[in-house]
Amino acid sequence: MRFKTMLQTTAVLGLAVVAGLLGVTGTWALWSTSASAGAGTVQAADFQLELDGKAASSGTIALTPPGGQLMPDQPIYSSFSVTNSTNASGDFRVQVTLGTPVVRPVGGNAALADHLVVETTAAPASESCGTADYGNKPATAAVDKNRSARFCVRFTLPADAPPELSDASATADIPVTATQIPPTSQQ
Amino acid sequence: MTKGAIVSGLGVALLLGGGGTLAVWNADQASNAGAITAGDLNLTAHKGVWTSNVTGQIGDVNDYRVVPGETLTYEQPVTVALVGDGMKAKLSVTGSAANEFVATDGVTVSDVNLTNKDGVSVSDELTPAVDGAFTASTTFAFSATDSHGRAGVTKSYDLSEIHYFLEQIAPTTN
Repeated sequence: MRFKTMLQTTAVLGLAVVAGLLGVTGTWALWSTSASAGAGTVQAADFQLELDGKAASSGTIALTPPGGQLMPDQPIYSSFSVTNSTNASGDFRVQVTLGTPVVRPVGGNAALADHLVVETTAAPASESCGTADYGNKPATAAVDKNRSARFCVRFTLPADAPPELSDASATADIPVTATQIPPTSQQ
Repeated sequence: MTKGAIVSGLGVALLLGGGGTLAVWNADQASNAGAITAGDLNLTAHKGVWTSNVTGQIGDVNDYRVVPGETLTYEQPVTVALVGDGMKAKLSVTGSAANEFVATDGVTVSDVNLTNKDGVSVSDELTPAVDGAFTASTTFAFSATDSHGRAGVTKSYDLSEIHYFLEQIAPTTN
């Protein structure tokens, strides 16, 4: 009976010592502090092309068709604007380039599409498409941030166009590509 | 019998009264143990500055809109004060950024790096002998060649949860 009491006492003391050691470990009061970097958020700019004021980042935008009657050897003209619309904080210029026009027939008469010649160029300062030079290909222009450039389109039928083209219709798709001009680094 | 008791009581009272007049020796001496003063551990992150390689210093990066071809650099002075003969501490960067960009967007952001005045990365433990001024820096590079189409437009990289953490290292007991 006395031996049993001693064992119980030893066990209680042992537990007390272990608990005490654990208690010491848990009370290490080391100092620490932290501070926010306050680095904020970096956000990329938005960038959209606008054709005649309509957002056209992708897809096709229908532009106003040229006015007047297309007659052999009497070209008619149209024009449209391309706007570099962005909220970039720094320099953001784009090089706008027009691809080769693709003429497609509208309706059952494909003859017009076979004879119609569609040419493009950057509009001259006068914006008079009738006096523009259509010899420079491809049509291209550098456009500054939130500025526009105007392009001219000339539609021509050759002088020897056949008479069956009368009342025929066609449409022309003009690919427009804008490529960012890398900004100039100060460093 | 009653008289005897009264006389005896007076005698005891006199003896007790005499206790207050005992001439006991005493002395006073200062311990000279001095004053114990706690050390210090402090961290101050000063105002950081973002700089663009295109536009120069940026006023508020939260209002800035970056484009491909730009590299933004963030530099921030960080001051560490350590006081204590047994003081040792470790300075580190905690937290992570919320990143909306994907790998094909052409954006590369470096980890926030802490360097001392000699430009050496802070990795070892700091002591009062090597505390002082440090510089935290990171770069956000928007590639002009790896981006394509309108990849990455309006996406953001949020660094607001990045913190600096200064933690005491447990002193070694003798």
